[in-house]
Amino acid sequence: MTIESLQSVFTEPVSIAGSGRLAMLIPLTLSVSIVYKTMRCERLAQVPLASLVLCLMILAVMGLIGVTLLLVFRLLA
Amino acid sequence: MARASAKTAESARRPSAPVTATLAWLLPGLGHWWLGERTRGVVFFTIITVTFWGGIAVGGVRSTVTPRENGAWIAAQLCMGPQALSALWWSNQRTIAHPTELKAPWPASNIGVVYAGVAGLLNLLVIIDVLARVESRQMALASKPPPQRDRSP
Repeated sequence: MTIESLQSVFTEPVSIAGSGRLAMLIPLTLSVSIVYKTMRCERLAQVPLASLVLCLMILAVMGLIGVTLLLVFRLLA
Repeated sequence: MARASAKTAESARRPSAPVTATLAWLLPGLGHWWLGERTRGVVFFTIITVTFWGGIAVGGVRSTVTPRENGAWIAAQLCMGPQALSALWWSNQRTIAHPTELKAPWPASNIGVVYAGVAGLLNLLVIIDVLARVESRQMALASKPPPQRDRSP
């Protein structure tokens, strides 16, 4: 891999459409969960499971909020 | 002589909050590494750095790290330390060198900005955590009873 091609990874934006927009939420949530649980857990062996549970919880709650707002929007429309 | 070496050993054991916070800002996880929590430091470095540069890869450096368009997000991104400063410098260089270059379309531009901003905010959280750890260590050292003097003749 040349320097130019490595550079182009960070200079040329990616096109994201459709469900890809929602899928981009998963890595961000996972990184927030891992960093938070790495701070909170005394033993690092607990981190993978705890962060996975937190990640799923965040995604579920955000999904629930999204569905609720969609229903409210449909009702008011 | 013995008193001086004891003082040096004491200061080596007692971490300084400004030094540790500065190290944590310079490189995510370096503050924890400095305190001896090396695995935790490596996890912070890996996750936060990948999130920051992942955001730049999604939105492109020019659309992601730009103070003109992203307002308060640049403040969050700058919590990443020299990595954010170098990305900002790179973004400015590209704006000057390639003024006609296409910027990221929506939503990639917004996703990239949010990724880089959240990475900076996570590093801010890590800096606060390392300061709390320094304080708890200092309190633990202060509450320790002073070493017993040898009273033997």
